[in-house]
Amino acid sequence: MPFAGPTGRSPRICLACGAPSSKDVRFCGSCGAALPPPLPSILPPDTVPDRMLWVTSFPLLTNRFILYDFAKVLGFTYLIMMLIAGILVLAGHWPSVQQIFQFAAIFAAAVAGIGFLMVLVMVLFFGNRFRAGFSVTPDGVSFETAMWRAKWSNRAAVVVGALARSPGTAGAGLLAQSSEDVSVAWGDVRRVKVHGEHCVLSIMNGWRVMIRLYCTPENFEQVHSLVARYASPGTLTGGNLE
Amino acid sequence: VTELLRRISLAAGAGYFSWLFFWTPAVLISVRPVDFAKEYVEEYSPRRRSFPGAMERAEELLRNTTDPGSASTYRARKIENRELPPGPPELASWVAQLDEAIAGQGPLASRAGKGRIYFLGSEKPVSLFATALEANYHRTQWLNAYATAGDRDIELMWENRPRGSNAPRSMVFPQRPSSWIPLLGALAAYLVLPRGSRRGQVRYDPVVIVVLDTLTLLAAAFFFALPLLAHDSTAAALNDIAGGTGVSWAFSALVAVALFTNAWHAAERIQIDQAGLHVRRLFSSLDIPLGAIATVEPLVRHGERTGVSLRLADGRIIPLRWDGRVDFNTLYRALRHAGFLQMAAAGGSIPIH
Repeated sequence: MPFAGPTGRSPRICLACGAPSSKDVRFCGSCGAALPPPLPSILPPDTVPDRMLWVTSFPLLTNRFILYDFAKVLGFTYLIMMLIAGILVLAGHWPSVQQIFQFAAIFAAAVAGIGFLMVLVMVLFFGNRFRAGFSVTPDGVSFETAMWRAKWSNRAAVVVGALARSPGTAGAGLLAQSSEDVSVAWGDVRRVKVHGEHCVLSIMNGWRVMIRLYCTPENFEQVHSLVARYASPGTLTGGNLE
Repeated sequence: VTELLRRISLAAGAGYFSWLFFWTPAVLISVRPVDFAKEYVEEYSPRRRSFPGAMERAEELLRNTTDPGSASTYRARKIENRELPPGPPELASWVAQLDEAIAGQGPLASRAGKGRIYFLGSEKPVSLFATALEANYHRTQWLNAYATAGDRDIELMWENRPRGSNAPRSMVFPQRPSSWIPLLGALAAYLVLPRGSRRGQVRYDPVVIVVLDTLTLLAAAFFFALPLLAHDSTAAALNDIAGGTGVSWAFSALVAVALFTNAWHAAERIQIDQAGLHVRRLFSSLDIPLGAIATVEPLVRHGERTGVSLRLADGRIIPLRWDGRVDFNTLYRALRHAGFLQMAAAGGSIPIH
């Protein structure tokens, strides 16, 4: 067995031949096929630094996490609008059910249009890449936009919004500017979802993802070990969006 | 090749669906029974208006100062230069069905729209008049013409813009009910064609592949359907093949090429076992024994590490990118365990690429 893999958390079954394998091997002893990947191991403390910072770029449109967030934002917006319409119907402020279907169709088209615009921005403006810096320190985790184009566009939106007397545009620019740098103290972290297959760690508070740490296969085990060291016990879970 | 077949079937199904969904005949023929005597009375009898305007007063003046002739001369005036050869006497029952359909009854009721009954030019018995109607249109530029069927007069209209007519949707888009079959068939093929278990192998993210397939297909179908939707009929769209239709379809084909890229990505996988690495691509495969790997170097693009580059003992260089791939760390660990890669030194930080 040439590759003795890191320690998994549960006994594994070979998906190719069904033979059981002990939890600390990477390949099936029966047929040699690769076993399902275990959750990444926690490295010994002397192999992991106290703090890590790295800059990396990750895809936007071809990124399941971005797509998931994207669908969530648009889906919730649509649901909330339909909920308001439903309440108006129940309260008798909407004359007919026919109109609510028309409203639903029009608003779905509007949401689809916004989605299309966002896809265009991701592809044409950002070139389907986003560059960001991440750090994991004893104080917490942080994310920083490392893409001048994104920063420039946020500031441009504020200036254009102010000149055009458009509070919406200026507000969107300010909002985007405020999320260029995000820091989260370990005390505020309630849950860390480990997406080992994707080299991503989702740092969450009680109900939402605050920062996603995009790692590379080179540094993922170290980042994971460092997060496991600083996060409260029991917060790490091997979640997956699939 | 399965991945390619999957997407070819999807593109073909979506294209055929768009074609059938927007298929419109070049011409419809609408028919209505005509009662010239009744029309004569309506046309020339005095109108009672509470507040006649200038135009109404002028019409009334003309009506009072001109000779309308008799009902038979009115009919002769109407059919002059646009009289078609009479239909056979047995069409009397068909004309009766037209009356019923206008009243919303009978077997032809589903073809009725605003006082007219619509037919394809090839349908009997309208086909008996179609050639003469078309010839009359080309000769006189009148879209409507008259014929007798049984003992009744009928008006036939050459509807060369079917989508602008009052024809029911089932006549304007007659293929729609069956258009869903190729689409559902293509979706079934996309889902059912075998994928094989890829867990534990380095591969493209399947969720992203499905999303990209969907977006690409929607965009390609949109550009394919656009000319079919914009023109009055499918024949009109095809006549514009050297113009807008051709441009839009060329764009659609360009977008559909992205499906080929998706197939390329979906087919790519790297399996790792004791024997080494097995790289599978759309049209090729490569087995790399670990002993054949001389060195492993970082793959750098625009100053950033994007994967690893295997330099084989025979001099070949195999680049393996991790961008967008799932489970690349399995490969990375295997290479590291085999002594090809070193972990970042403890106590330091990962270099900022």
